[in-house]
Amino acid sequence: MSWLSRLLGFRYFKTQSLIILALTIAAASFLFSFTALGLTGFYRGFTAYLGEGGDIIAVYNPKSETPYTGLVPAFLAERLAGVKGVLAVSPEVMAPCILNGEAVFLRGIMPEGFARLNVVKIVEGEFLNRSDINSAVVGENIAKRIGLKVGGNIFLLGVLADRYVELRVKGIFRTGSMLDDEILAPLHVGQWLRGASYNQVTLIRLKIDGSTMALSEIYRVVIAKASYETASQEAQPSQRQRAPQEQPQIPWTVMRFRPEDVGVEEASKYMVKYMEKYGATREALLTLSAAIFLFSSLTIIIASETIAVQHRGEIGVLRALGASKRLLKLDMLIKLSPWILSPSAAGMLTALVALAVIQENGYLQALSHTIPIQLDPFIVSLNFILTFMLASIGVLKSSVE
Amino acid sequence: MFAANCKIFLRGHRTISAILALALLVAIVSSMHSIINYINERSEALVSLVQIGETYLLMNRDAESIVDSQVDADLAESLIKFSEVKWVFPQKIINAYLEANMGILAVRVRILEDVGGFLKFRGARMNGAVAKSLAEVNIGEVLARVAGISVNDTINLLYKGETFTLRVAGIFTSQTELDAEVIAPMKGHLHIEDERVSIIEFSLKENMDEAGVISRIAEALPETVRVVKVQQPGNFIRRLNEQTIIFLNVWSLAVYAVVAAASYMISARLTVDSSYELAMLRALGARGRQILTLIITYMAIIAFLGSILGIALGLVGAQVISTIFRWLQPTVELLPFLKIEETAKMLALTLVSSILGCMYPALKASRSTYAEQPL
Repeated sequence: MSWLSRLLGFRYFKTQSLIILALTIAAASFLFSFTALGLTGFYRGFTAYLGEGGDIIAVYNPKSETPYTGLVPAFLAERLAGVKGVLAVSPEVMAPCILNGEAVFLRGIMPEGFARLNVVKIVEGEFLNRSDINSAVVGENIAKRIGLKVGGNIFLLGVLADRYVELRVKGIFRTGSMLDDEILAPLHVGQWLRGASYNQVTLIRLKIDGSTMALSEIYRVVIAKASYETASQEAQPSQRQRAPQEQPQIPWTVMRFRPEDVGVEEASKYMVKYMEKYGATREALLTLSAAIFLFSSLTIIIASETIAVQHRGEIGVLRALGASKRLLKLDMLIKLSPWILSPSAAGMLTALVALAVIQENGYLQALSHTIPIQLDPFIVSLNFILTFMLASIGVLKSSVE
Repeated sequence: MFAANCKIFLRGHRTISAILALALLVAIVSSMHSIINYINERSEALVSLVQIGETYLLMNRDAESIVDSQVDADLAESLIKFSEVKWVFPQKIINAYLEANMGILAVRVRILEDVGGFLKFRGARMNGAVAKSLAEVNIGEVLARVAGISVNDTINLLYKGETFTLRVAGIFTSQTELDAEVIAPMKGHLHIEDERVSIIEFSLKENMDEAGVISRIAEALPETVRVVKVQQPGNFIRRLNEQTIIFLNVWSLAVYAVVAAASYMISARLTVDSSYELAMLRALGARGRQILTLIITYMAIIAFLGSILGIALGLVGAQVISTIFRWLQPTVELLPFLKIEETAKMLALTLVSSILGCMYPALKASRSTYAEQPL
């Protein structure tokens, strides 16, 4: 029988020491997972909530500093609805506001177009319709956080404009995305609170039939409108209209604009662009999390070394019996593996539970949107790899005399 | 005495790695706080770039809705006495129903004395005339389009079981919430005899010491009313920043949990490595409490040095990375900094978590006799 197999049968680690090692690893793993899951949740949530996939397109102002503050001509929505291959059009106005002292986002929408782009489930009450002028529907998260009820009134104060508005809560909705932290109101309400004219919107989202049209086609139409339309001309519905386009309460006027003031991008890439503008790429966030883990690496290394130190007596006896240093380290590593990997998994699960609890209590927010938490296979793998690597360094570095 | 006794633990390599282990953990918290501080400060500074209006509302302190609010109409007179106040518009706001071609619509009716002045204050453009007589109203463009109402049409307003027939003197557009409302000039016609109004909207003259004036106005008002600033970008940004700080604080707790775990490991290793010295001290008559204090003091020194080094490392590290980032991407400006109170908090929390972490090994070492100590 080889030395290693004989050694493996000899249990010389004290359980108490192993538990302490496990706790240290679990704590470091918790820290990494908490950071990584939180940051990637923030990234994923914001990049996905306007729509995922190549068939949702955003027409926006590329010169805007944030995705919420740009303005584009609203009449483009009507024009783009007439383009073959465009299935649905949703002009939207984002308005930051204050509700009951809390920071919230109100999204001015045209109900039918919006519902064609997002799966909106009404939890209570009703969704908006064309005749609603002073009503709003609120996301499930915000309703819970602020305590809003169907039939009640919400009094909103402006942030970008010196305006206030009181709306009746018509319904509570759920989309399963970060939209659940927003208030949806008729387009004109968003325009009031944003301080925009009735001819401007923050962005226009389109759903296209990817098989019949490309992004470049949309851009070409936008450029054509910038070049040929004349100011103060009433927008006329196109004869070739394909996507059913509901009419705004106040008809849109054709506005002159420069082609460089309007960008066309896939909705998810549009948000990615803004995140990247501030250095928040997925890679950067994961690197930051890994760096945090590596900063706590010395703790794991010390913990692994301490195990060797605490078993100096037993290891000394084995050395005296002829076990080589290499063999002992290999044996320690094999014996410690379950005590490294299980706490690593436990740390990650605890982080997940902690984040879920914090999220449930409304404390996990960025820009007034609840950060979605989801287990990422890459983060799981990275957690195990980093933990095992660091603990191995500790064991291999320990002095076995 | 303690310092002298602590020296027996200070073995070069072990102590340095212990200080470094804690320093790296504190550096994580320090760097994150310094970056978030800068981002928060910048976002608050950006608010100053937003043109902030000077409109205020006087409403009932407990009212959550302007329709439910009730304030004494005479307060408008008190406001006018302030020379810094430019406009004052007491308004009664009610919910009523409008009979329209498309059916019955729930509408908001705003009743005030000076309709023309108010619409001018809101920058409205009028198609038709300002409603002046008891039987006239003005209607916002959004409401007019939805209800299919034109200038000079007659509308029926249903309020408290009564129907009021009124002529639409003009349709206006103001790009504000008024565009979805009915504006009526006098309360008498709707049989509102109440002397109270819902809100009093007022604005200040330009270039006034806004905070000072509002403070004086608030002092002169009864406790049952409050002054609400309509545009609140500063409050909005502060709320968003608070969300980040809450996450950062919760996250910092996770780091301090690791600091406690690290302190446990450091003190556990210390008691094993220094078993000979501890046994000697016991043999020389040291009591358990003295051993306990000795280990805690050692850990406190390690934690103190570790946190000082960590705070410095975190801040300098964040600043170096920000500088490199600025070289790579010149549009990004990042100047991380720490506040004194945050530094003190980090220092205190590191000390507390370190002492908590070392308690068990220290207690265990203090309870064992010198005969039990492995030599």
